[in-house]
Amino acid sequence: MMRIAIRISGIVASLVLIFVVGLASPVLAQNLVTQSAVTTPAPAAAGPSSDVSVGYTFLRMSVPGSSSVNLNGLDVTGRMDLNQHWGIMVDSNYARTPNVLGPPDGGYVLSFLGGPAFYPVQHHNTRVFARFLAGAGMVDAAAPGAGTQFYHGWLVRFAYAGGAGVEQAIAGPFAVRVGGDYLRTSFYDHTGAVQPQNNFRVTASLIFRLKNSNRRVVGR
Amino acid sequence: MRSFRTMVFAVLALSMAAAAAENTELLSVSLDSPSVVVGSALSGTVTLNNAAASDVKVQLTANPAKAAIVPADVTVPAGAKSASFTISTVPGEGMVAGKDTVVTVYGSYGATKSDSFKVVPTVSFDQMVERVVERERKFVATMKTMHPLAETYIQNLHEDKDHNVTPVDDQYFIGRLDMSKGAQDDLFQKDTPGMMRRVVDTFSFSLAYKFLPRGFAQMVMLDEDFQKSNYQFNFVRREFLGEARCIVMDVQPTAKAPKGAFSGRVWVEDRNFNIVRFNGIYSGGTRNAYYLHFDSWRLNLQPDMWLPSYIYVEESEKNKKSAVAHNLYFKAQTRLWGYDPAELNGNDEFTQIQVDSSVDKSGAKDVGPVEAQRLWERLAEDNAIDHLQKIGLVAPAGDVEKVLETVVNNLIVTNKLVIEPEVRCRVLLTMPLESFTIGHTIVVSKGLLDVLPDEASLATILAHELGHIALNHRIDTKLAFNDRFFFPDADAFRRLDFERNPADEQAADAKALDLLANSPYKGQLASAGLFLKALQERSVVLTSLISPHMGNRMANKNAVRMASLSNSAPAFDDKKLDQVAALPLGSRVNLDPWSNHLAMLNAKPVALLSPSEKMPFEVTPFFPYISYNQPGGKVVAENTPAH
Repeated sequence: MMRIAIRISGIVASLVLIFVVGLASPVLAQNLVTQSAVTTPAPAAAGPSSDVSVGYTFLRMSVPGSSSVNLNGLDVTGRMDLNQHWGIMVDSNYARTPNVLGPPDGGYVLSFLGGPAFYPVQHHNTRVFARFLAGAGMVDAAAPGAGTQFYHGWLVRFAYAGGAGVEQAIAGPFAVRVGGDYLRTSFYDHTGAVQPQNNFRVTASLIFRLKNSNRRVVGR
Repeated sequence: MRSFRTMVFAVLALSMAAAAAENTELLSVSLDSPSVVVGSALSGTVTLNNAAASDVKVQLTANPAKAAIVPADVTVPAGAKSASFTISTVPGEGMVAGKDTVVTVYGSYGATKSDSFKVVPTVSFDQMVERVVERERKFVATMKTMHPLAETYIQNLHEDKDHNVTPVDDQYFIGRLDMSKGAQDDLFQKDTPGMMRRVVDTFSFSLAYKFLPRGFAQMVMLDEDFQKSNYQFNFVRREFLGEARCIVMDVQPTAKAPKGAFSGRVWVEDRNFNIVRFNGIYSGGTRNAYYLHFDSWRLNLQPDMWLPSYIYVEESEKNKKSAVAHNLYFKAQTRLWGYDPAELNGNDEFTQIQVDSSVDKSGAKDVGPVEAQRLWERLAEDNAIDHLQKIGLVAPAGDVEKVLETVVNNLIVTNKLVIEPEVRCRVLLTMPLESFTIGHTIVVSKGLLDVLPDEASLATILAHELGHIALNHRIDTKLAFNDRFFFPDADAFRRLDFERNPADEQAADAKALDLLANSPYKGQLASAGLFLKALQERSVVLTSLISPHMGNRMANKNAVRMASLSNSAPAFDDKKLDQVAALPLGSRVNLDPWSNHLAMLNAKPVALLSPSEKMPFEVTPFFPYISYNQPGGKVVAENTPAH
């Protein structure tokens, strides 16, 4: 019962964080839009730019009380750029392995994260990004028990990720993104206690840029 | 005896003429251009201090004599004060090869006066580009000292399956331009948004397209740091824009040009190499911030001073498969005016002090209570009008105002109204459609004047306001205190409110119908009704155009001013070419951006060829007639007809 309450509170906390970060980003973005450089002409219109991406992900998951495990999977990301330097991103990542501590017990990490993305540098068709995402992570894995035994189970907890990467426009609405993240999830150790997991993931995605809607407002 | 008297009169007349002739002398010699390319001609004007009693010959010479050909003399005809003459320049004569030559033209009659101009040698295209760059850099420096009003009106468009393009919504902003620290503007806003509204706006701005006023203001500049090395210049042709002969060239940024460099076509007048027009886009927008295509016009508002006056902006990215990031589909106009710093500061008052006679000849010395009350109300009225004129929102009284006052007088006389003090008319220089009264002064916006289809429609608008005056709907006399006007210009719409309550509006409507029924316009009110009907129909989508700055809203979805006229109007028939309910914006009145004076548009009537050319209340491109600023001249440009 206690465990369920902890899980629910973790998920609620994640959603609240996503909401707060999502709200804060436009405010930061708006402030930056109004500070146009003196040397370049001020733009006459501005608008959000959004894209979706699908890609391959490689995730190196730490197993509490044991070594690391390599997982492979799929990453789906949606993003909206609010201005030249800020955007918001939602990321869903699923990576699995056929065995965690030995066959036949497979495992996976499924995460739903969201948060701000920052673009410090843009040069022609290339831009660098850094992001901080938070949300929920579901880990299905095994924990070592006594001797050769191990326990198998799953856990949903608050998760977050921070990382950086590079995007390169290819042609038309298509671009590629390569990035790496530190991903923090949680799982049980051999005593059944929930322990943090330090994971690292690398993702390579194909980005498809969406057209904007027609809604317009007057800004300052 | 009689012959003696005749002789005396003749002697006296001759003596007076001689005296006048003796006192008449040359006041000035002025040239219409500070420089010309060798081989070209320019005009000069001699001006006398008095009107000539008989023909006056002013002797002319040039120095160096071989550099320019001037007539030996020019005759100022009897009764005139000035006369013009032409100066030709001769290639090779009296000029130092490859260098500018300053020529001074002297005029002599009683006194000797002079003016100078520069003869510029024929230049290669490359040299011409250098001069253009030099002039443009000078322009940028000048522009940074200017603070005109900049008004932008945007209409977002939609094209239906039959290719009919109509506005679907609109946006508007007005502010005072300040280029001294990059494109900045101080927006005039009627309402101060509250905290909650600001928060909501912030989020909505981040999730939708937004138009940025300073981005539109930016389009007055081709390049704030114009460098020849950043561009490729290609000669296209020579072309006349009005009376200005222009060199047309394509300008493209080089690979090493900084972000935001201009790409497009430039028109340069060939007397002094000032940029008159540029048409294109700034390059290098980002995926979130867009530069838009624009057509920017400058007018020769003062001698040797070309200043931005009109900008037309248009985007039509209807194709969802296009490579452009946005799919904006709109057209917009930006107009600039109020350049004259003397007009803004009122400093001319100090340079033209006239001391009138202080002797009151009326006999009555005291002011009774009734007259005092009238004077007090007139003071409030004058204060408000003077302030609005000072900050550039109301035009100085002139010809257009006289036209309005004539129509008002028609209504007053035919209805035998006695109104004291007299009714005056003024024009608010902004685009939103509105009219209101400030005491006994009727104010009509330029935008409203522009779209009215005929005099009867104008009379309808004025009759409503005259109704307020006839019903003695008074001005708030708090404006009689001058401290009420100690606020920033941008607060004008917040601090000066001439909106009437609904009951007064209804009463003015009823009174206006009575006034029109007794007027010469009573048989022509169908067109006025049609205008009001069109206004109400478009008020749903053109909300910014219908939103008043200081008066009452003329129409909304459920109501329109003088609804009975609208109800009795004939039905709309879009296909009928002779049924024009309202004109496009900019159809009637021309504004001098330097002095804010208005003049009726001098455009030839154009027959409509299709219903799509009706364009009621719509934005159209600018094509001003460019002319050189003449000494003493006022009109510097006239729009070519939209209709």
